[in-house]
Amino acid sequence: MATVSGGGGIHALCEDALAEILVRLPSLSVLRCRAVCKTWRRLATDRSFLVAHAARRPREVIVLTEHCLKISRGATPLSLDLEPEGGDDGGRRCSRRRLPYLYDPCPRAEDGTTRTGAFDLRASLDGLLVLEELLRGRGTFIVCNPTTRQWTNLPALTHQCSAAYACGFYFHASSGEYRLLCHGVEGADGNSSPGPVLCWGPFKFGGPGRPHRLVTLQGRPCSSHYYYILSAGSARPRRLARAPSCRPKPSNSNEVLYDIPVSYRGNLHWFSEHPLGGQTGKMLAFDTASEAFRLMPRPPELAAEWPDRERMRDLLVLDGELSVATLKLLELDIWVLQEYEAAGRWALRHRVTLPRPRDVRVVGVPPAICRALPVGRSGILIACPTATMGTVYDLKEKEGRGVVDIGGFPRFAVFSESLVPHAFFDLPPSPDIVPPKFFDPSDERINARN
Amino acid sequence: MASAGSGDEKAAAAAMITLISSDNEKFEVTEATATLSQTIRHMIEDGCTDGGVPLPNVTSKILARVIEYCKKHATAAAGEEGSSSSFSDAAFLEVDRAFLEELEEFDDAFLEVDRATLFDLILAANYLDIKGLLNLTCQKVADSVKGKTPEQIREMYNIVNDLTPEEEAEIRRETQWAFE
Repeated sequence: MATVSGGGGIHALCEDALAEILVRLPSLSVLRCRAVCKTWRRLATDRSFLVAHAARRPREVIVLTEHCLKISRGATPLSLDLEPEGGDDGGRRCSRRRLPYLYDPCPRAEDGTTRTGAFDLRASLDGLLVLEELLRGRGTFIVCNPTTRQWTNLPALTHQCSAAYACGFYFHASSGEYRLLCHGVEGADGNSSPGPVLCWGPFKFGGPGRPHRLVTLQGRPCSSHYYYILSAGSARPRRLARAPSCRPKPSNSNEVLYDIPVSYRGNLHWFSEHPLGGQTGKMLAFDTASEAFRLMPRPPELAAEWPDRERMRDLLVLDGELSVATLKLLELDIWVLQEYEAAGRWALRHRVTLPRPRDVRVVGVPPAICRALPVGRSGILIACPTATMGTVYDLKEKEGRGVVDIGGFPRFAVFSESLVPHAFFDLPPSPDIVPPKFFDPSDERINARN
Repeated sequence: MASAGSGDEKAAAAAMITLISSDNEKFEVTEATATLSQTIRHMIEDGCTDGGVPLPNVTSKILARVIEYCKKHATAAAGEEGSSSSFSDAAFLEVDRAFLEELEEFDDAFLEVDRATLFDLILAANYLDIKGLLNLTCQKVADSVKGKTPEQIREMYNIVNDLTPEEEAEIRRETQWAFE
């Protein structure tokens, strides 16, 4: 270690100390620092440094604002600064700032007019986004890192399935692979029919926070359902196991429904919206290590078949516990799953009354939870399908922390930047897929919308 | 070490540690202040602080500043422990908030130093493993680097560019948008 006495320039710092400075920089600055000198380049490309850097990035919320297939959807990331730097003032403040678009869901041709492809967000994990190319509609997924602007496609399901739905994205620790779990429908007469119809459900129960429905053509039997695993970097999909077939619907259509899963202790969880949710009244869990499914209990009060018009709910991890938030008028309940490993027992942890929203832009009383997210140490953000404002409530101090302008129908994904390299991005992507258009600071049209 | 205290309880609370700078100056500090440094905390746990803790990497000038920081923040840590037991006490929370503001003002004033001192503080905070001080000082330098071009960073900190033109061009090509 160099002695401190008589130090002066930044070269006097040991590399540990220099890394401590660089790790506090935003991603864009880290990329620039690589061009300063050899030492800085070595530090700013070192894998363990990049892992530490990614771990420090603030969690941000991506809000998808427009939900009709005919309109171009905008993916507006909104930073809630969920974990403010310093931490002393953890749950007390909730500032917001606008970020540039992570990606442009509607890439354009050179002349800036033609829409040749559209993507929608399916999952967000470790700085990676899984996007589905919508026009193909048969499970063409890509994985991208909007921070490094790298992307590649996941193995295509188009040969095996006439329809596919992304259930969840996870890191498979023992193989070191990022994997997308899909529910695929095989042999639904894909050749002679126009194929399955993607139907978006923003105006149905639960609003846009609920997943869309994948509907096969009415009256056509869907012969078999399988779970598939699409690993980033592998060439082919892997068929995992039979999937529960769709439950019958009054509309005579077959539907596959999945919540946006919540990851907890190496498992993905779908609280009530999954193919077995209605008939069993249980929560579905998927062990990302063994890649096996199991059913877990729901609180008896919340075992009723979805949708429960009176009481909307969302699963989240709060204070390190798997929790479910429910809202009935202004009454917010937080249920917590205790003794998780021993199959679990739900306990009612909080019952609080939310402050009546003062903001005029909030129309009426929130009828439903669209999404609930933890904010800081003891805060929770609750957003409803009818309002463009989310309420932040402090569960410890039992008071409102204000409202956040989400700027649209809330459909959230939590995102944080990462510059960690992945070998699968070195693989050439399928030439059939229109590359996603990442945010370009010089694109004034995007800036104007921002 | 706990010779100053009379009762056993007092002795533990008022245990003093002697820190010795590279230029052989001695600083007496309470254990609560000293243990903001994880390095010193481990030395105390291992029982090797008798006769003082030599810090050959830290000058008396810098050590004095580091101790000033630790004293202030040790009080803050003690205050926070007290506050958790009476979390719902509104009056207490007010005091708590006022104290946090005071602490922020202290930190801001603490950072009003020349660049060489700032780097020395970073080295000392890194060596002594004082999380809060490291965060405070490194963030200050990071803020000065944020948004700057490589040329501006080199100029600001007198860094010689030892990358070959080809290497630099390659770095810029890899993430071209970051340099626009």
